[in-house]
Amino acid sequence: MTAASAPQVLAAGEQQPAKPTSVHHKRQALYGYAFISPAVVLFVAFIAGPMVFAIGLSFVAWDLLTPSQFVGLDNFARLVNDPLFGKAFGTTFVFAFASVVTHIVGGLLLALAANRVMTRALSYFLRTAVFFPFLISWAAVALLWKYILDPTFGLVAYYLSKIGITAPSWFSDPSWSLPAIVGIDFWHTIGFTFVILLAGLQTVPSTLVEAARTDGANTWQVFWHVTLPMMSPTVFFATVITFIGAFQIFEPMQIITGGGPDNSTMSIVMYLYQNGFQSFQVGYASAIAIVVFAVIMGVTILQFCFSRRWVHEQ
Amino acid sequence: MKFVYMGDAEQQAQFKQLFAEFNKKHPNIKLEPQGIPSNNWATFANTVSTRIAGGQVPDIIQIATEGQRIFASKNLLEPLESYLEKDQDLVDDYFNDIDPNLVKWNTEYASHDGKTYYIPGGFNTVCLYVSKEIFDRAGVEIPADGAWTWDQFRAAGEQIKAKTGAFLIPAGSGYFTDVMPWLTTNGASTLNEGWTQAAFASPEAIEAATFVKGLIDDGLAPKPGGQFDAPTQMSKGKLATLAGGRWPVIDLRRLKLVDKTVVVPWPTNKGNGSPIGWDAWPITKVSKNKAAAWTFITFLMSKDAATYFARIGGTIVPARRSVADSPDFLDNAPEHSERLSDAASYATPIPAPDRGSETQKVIEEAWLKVLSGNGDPTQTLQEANAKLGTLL
Amino acid sequence: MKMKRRLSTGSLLLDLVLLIVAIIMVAPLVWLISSSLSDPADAFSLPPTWIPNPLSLQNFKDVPGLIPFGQMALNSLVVATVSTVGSLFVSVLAAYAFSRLSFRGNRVIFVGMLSALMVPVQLTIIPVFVLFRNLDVVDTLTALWLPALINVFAIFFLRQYFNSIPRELDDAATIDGAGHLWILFRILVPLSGPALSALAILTFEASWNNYFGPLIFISSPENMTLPLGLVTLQGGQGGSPAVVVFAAITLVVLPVLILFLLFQRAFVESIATAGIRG
Repeated sequence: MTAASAPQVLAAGEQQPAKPTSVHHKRQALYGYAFISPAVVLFVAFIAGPMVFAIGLSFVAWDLLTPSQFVGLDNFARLVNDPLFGKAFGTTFVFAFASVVTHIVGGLLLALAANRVMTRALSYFLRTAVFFPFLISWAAVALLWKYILDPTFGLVAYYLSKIGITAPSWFSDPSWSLPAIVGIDFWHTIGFTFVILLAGLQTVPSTLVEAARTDGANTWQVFWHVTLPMMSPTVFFATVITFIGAFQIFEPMQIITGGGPDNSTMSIVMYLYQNGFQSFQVGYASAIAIVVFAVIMGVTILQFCFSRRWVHEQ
Repeated sequence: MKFVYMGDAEQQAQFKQLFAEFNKKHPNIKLEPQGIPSNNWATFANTVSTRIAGGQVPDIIQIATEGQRIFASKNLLEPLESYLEKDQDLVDDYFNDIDPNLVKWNTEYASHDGKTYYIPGGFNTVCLYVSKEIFDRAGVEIPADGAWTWDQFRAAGEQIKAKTGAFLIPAGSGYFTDVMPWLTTNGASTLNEGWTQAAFASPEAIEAATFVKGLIDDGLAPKPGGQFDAPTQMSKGKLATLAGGRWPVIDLRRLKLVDKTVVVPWPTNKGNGSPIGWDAWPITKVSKNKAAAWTFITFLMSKDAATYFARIGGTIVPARRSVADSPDFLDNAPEHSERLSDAASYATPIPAPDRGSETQKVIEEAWLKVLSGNGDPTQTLQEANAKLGTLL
Repeated sequence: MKMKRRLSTGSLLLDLVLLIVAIIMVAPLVWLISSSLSDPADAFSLPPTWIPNPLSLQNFKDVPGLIPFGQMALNSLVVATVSTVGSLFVSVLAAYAFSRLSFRGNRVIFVGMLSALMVPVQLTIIPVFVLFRNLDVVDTLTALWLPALINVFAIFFLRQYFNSIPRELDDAATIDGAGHLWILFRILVPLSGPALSALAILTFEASWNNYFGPLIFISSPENMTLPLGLVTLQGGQGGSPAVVVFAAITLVVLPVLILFLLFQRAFVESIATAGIRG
């Protein structure tokens, strides 16, 4: 990700191996093909082949049992006119946006607050507490939080009532269900963002920060004009990776809400799963999958374009 | 021979004992049972469909009401007429011992063309498990004959709330356990009797949903929107009743509540009501072991097997009345557990058309929407009703 | 970075805020573990009891009665281990070829693979399901680890890492008559410890926690991995007792917690390196 390593990679790739005799060359090629063959076979079987097949499937109607039927662009036409798909698409974007904002802002605040001299015990406790949830399976997290958020017998409702707030019916209220999942997701993965941003923060040379301070810059100015630009590649990486992860959100919807209430937590992958593996409309599900792919591809390409223009390179 | 059934690990352990019993009697038939744990029957039906799609075709599948039409209509099952004739005596003995409704429904609902594809097995209805302790503490009488009305039930709840602070009943949105009891005790259902038309927006259905919402609004039922453990809260004195078929008995035993609870029919507004869902055993069309499969089904129909199964546990009411009324079923269970089998006489088969899992989702979502106050009852049920119409 | 600890009120206030944040972050897990250690009738009190009294292991004893926990744990371990070791082996070989060997198509194949880095699993899952159905491996562990053997990110990451190791080392070995396998496994692999351990941790973690794949491919409890097994506990009519569900979750979380506390630095660094370098 750092700008420094990129040219080095390419340069090394161009290097010619020593002693290019023809026998040596052939031998090397032989080894080359042998070494990449397991990866290539697996790649074709599980990534490239399925990709092509998925594109093919998007033009058929198939229930996995009876023979498939070619339907041309019908699946895509249906996508355009399917209000639920539109809603799922919108919900997923809202979720991804909320996820990115909460993770980056929260992660930056935590990283800035943690990136100073602290008692060892506090520092250790903080890092452990914040990072550990990231290592827990979504399945466990979702099961646990459904109980924690119970509006009557749950922990959150209890402590909210202590400060005079009546907890909403998180998973039966369409206006609270998505925020609840944003919150659970934040608890689950903020540790990842925190660690990455902290690592990025620590690459900012302290001499620069001190120089700025000597020049009379206040804390905010130092952050805005020195620290943030210097760590922008990391922030950018964290943003993109959070967005891509959030765009594929599935488990909490599948385990906690089933996409409800009122489809308020119907994410696009949840919708894909329901179509593909619950109603067995494999062709339609493939069309949805292609849209997911297109969005992720688009975001990645945007990342490359924008990072060239905006991100500070060392 | 492959037998696929729905069950969590605990139920599987019980089934395994039953299968061992079968193998003792028929050592030449190799039975390969496979239990599949599922959230609900619709999911189970999908999982089995996935397996069949995956090329694994079982010989016998245990299918509940919710999946029976789906499997039959997909042309996956073998008509059983010739087998029934072959073992006429046993079949007659069995059908005479089970509730006549089950026999009637088995042809009415589990077939799409009038042929017999299934032999009906054990079933579940829904009654209330009532905490004697909490009712006592609040000074509320539990009706000895089991007859009470919605209004009496609600009044009991108000007194319990005032005296003990406990909730009256959980108000969930589970189709079978939470939605159907309220509908059927008000003379309503989700679909018409032939499952050909949606009937979810009838005035009676709207009245039922509104009544339950009232229980939540007045603090007699906990707010939906999360998850809690109802039997645990009952044992802590926080919940006076809970809904269920036979299955809560396992939790009640765990929490040592068997002697502190009593089974009471659902309170009524128009008349007695309960949903009913039953297991049924079909033979698959592609099975290569049809004779052996039938032998296994005759074993399941036998009184010995039913008694044995009731004795080792099981979360289901035995189809044979002679077994359901015996100590094998009634011991170590809350008082009046026979009311669960009585309910078969007035119960409504859980409406489960071909697109059962989508239907269920529409119903549960609408119910939850009304209960949590996010939609006007009439309008919400009308919208859901229109959606149901498109799924039939 | 050198900073002096300033004992200002601001700094103390910040410490306090961070302490509260940390406590809020761990509270759900403490509640999980203490509920699972409670007597079934004592659990889920409000206000919450953070330290169960009396302690009870009953809920843990009840877990195997509901799901074949031991078998599921073994399945998770097998799948995660085979996925990790297998994918690292495949990736190391490919990365060496892409980094060190010249052959026709080297760059084309590498770039081709790299361009698929962003292919989400949802796009390939249906075709892979159809493929596995034809291979008759649906509902087996093979369906879980076989697709995990190809890890484009690992190939890319390792190739980058190998490129940063000076070629003089392998040239010297070549002069001594060493073959490519020798160079790879005796020189490059030992020098790539940090990269390999980072990848191993990430791959193992991803596999251990995977829910989507098992949900699609596995239907028999005895073939399930832990995350899917946990969710089936919620199933069945009425669901399983919550305390037992909590005990099962605790059994899944606890080994990870212990490993994390022991190797915290490695865990955190693996994320940071993969993040920063990737």
